[in-house]
Amino acid sequence: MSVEVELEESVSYTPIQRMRHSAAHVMAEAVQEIFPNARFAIGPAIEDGFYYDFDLPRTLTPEDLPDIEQRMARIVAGKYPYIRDRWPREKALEYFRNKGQIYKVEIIENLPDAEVGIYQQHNFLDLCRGPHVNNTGEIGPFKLMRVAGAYWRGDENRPMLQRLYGTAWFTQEELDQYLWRLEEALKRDHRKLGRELKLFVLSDELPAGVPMFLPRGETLRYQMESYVRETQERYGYQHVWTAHLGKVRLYKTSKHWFTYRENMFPVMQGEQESSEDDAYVLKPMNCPHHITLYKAQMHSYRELPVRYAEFATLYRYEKAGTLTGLARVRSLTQDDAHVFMRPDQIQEEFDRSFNLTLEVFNTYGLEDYWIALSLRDPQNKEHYVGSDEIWEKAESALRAAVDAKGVEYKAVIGEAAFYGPKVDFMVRDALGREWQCSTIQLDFVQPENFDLEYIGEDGQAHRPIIIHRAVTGSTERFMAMIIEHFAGAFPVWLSPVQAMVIPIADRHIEYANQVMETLKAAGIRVEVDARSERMNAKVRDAQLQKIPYMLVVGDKEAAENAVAVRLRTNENLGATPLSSYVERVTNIVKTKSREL
Amino acid sequence: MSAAMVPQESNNHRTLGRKLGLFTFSPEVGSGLPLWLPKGAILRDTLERFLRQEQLERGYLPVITPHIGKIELYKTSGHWYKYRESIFPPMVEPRSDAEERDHWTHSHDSCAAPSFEHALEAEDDEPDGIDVEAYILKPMNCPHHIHIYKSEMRSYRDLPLRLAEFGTVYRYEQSGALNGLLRTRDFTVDDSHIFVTPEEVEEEYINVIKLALFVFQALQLDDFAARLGLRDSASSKYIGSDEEWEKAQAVIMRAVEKLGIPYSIKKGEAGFYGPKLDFLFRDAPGRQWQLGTAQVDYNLPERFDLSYVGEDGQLHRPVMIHRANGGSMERLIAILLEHNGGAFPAWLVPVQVMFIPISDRHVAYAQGVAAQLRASGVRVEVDTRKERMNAKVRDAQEQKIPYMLVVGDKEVAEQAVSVRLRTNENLGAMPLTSFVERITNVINTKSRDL
Repeated sequence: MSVEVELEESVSYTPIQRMRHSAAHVMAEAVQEIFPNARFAIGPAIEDGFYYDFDLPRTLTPEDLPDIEQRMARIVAGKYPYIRDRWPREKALEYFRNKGQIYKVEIIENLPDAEVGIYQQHNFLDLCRGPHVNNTGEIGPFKLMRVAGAYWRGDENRPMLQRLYGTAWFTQEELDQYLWRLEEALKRDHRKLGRELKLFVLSDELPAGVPMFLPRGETLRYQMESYVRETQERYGYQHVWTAHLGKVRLYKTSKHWFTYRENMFPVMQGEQESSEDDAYVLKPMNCPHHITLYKAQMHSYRELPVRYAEFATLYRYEKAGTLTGLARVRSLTQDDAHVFMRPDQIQEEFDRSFNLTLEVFNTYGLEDYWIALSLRDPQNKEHYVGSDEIWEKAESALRAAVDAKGVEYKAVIGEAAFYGPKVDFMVRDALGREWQCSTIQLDFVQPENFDLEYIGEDGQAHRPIIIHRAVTGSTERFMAMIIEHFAGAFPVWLSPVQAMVIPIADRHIEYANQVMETLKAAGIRVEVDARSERMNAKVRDAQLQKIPYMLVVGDKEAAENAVAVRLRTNENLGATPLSSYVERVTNIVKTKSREL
Repeated sequence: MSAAMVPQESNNHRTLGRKLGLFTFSPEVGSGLPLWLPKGAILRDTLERFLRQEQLERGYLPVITPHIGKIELYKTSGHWYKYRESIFPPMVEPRSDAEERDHWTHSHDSCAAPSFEHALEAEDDEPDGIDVEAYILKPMNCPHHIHIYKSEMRSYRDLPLRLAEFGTVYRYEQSGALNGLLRTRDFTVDDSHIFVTPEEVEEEYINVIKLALFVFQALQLDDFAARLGLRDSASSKYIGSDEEWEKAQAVIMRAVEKLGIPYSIKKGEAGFYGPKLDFLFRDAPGRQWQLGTAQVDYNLPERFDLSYVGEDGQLHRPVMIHRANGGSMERLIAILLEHNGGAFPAWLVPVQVMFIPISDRHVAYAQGVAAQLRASGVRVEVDTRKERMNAKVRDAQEQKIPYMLVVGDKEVAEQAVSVRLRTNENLGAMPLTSFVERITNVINTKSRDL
């Protein structure tokens, strides 16, 4: 984000952003007290806090933060007013030049205005559009978070500055809550849990951003996919299976080659491929393959809608620096579907996708989400394919479809796919962080590109419309989200290992194995911990693995054909006849309950 | 690759695949890359679920590995040198991006085993010409599974470790050599790599063969034989010492003899890292097809420096078994088609039941009953076309649908169905409950009878 944009946006600060922006100025004053020759760059409010970029004679260390915080506290306690002024450009240039504030000078030089905004509180004067709170006493509880390096204007050829981050809230409770969420987010980090729970591996020996799933991760993924598959079948989707690659020619027809190329993997061209068109490329999206399947057969109006679904692995050449665990990868598996339909079927098929999505969210207990209607940016038409007329048709049809559902949504300009508008579901997890999951896209463009047809009731060829949709989106990212959402303590139906049988002594191993066989026969994923550890150590290990049920078996349990059930929540259900336990778990798994 | 004779044109798997709506090919996607239509996908999915479940019950651990790997990995495994002409052209990372990544990560080739690599490069006449980061579509799954093995310290108690995956691999076949699903450029192997202690090899190997036999039985592929592929001592394409080759060969021969399986020996059919047993099947017209394989390998554990901690607390070298029951899912389905002409066992067939309402007024009843069957997991369709009943029966028979349920006034009144089999046998009217019981039993027991 450029400096100009940040300054521009500051005008529309919300009350809390305004307060955080004022806190940034207080932080700058505190830094100025310690380093009178400090040079100041920019200091905006950001999500959950603020920062300021400084050019300082030495590197800040974490030990500096308490000192800066104390100085800030004194400035806040002084309740100094923020005094607003407007200076002629030349006066401002001269003032900052004299002070050696080269970054401020550069900013002013790039401003077109004849007058610039100045704010002063106590002993600190800054170039600023504002707005600010009335006085420093209005700044709520704050905390400095960390120091990081940042290039001036984000340009790696310009000087490296020190960016000091802080957070500020209206109440102490909000601050505490925020700090708790941060701490919790670290604990729940899916990369850390992925390692601890042995779910997946990313390593230097594999291509970057391409995960491998270990047995427990495979089991989790298999349960997730099987659930979506069954649900899709119930909603009338047919599953298909297509290759992970296609010819460049295919992506020229679909226009991906022209609009999406920077995200595509390098092409494969060998002695058998004489031209670029013939070369192979890993598929960045799945639509051209499903369209090819549609075209492989003639379709009559009676057969529509044709709904092809696939767990399709796609390849996107994300920048190496942006790859993050499973949340941003280079190979992702989408629960992708394409519905080929007549114009009169738009609403029904939109509803079908919409309801399917809500059913899946409900099963996962994802109740906090909002809906975006992503539209084309009319100022940037070159990023999209298709005529204005087609886009109007598609956008008004999609808007009508989502209006008819009677749900709230926000229209977002510039977020459409290159071939059409879409409805996106943004899910907030247990820590309030947002993840993009489901999408429903309406496409009048690809049917044109591929010259798709169906035979209408009138015996003539007509053009179908396509809905592109995904329910959980990318399985990898969804998995990252639910790992963090559940902090690894998955609902029983998803848990890779559902029960751990813990024999108290070696002589109970035989009974433990019997219990395991009984549970396995009932379809429960179970293991026996036969190590020669103490029982408490085994219980603790199983708890760390977030295994929902620990079944302790000793003399008493063996004699009574029972198990002593402990939950990962630490609750102790005591001795339970084996048959009742099986009934309990089978029921919980069958109903996908989130209880234990 | 195959010892197959040329199949008859009218009943070959490509014709059947089209007729039954199983799969298709497209020059836009690329020849040799099958696209599975809904019915073909059901077939494949049902097969995979069956194999997955049987393997889970036998202690296999499913994993998922990427379809691409770094060239370095295949240099270590030797595939890059021994197999290069079958590997797809590499994807060469644009230089700037490679540099960007170097900025983020450290060395890429920490997995290389230098001594072997040098030995191989010395053998290799052709320089590889690739000095920047490059990816290839994986020609085999073993290096990825080995990588998973190496992701943790293993103890003798963890072994045998049976990693299994429906792993898609890629072969840069000449376009003239492609043949429907029998020879493709991408195919999915019901692959497994089993890491065992030397003491466990034989028992594990026997269990591998037993599982394969069980699978062939369920698929009604009865006329089974095995072929022991040995190294051609005149050729230099193999790696590893004579002693290792002899050990591996002895394990296989003892296992086959213990099980009393008929087998032949063929020189020059070994993998480059070890001898192998191929599973062969002879179909009704007497053609022989190659299915899966089971190989004993003392070499790759050496090349990748694999180890486990033994009972003595010391590091030991495990042995690997590479195995697949069906070989590739594509090939297996092609062979099944060529063998059964599309009349798949009832548990496997894409559409198990076709309802044939005699007239429009019976459609509602048919659909109600169909929904009931679907709820109990039966794959059902209703033929609501305005065709005559006989035409519908004929069409369903051509689609090799095992059960045709004709419903008219009488059936509606009696909550019954009239059952015809694709074999032309007519079972007459039976109460709906009896039919449900019959078909669920046939499916659950993977019965041959309908």
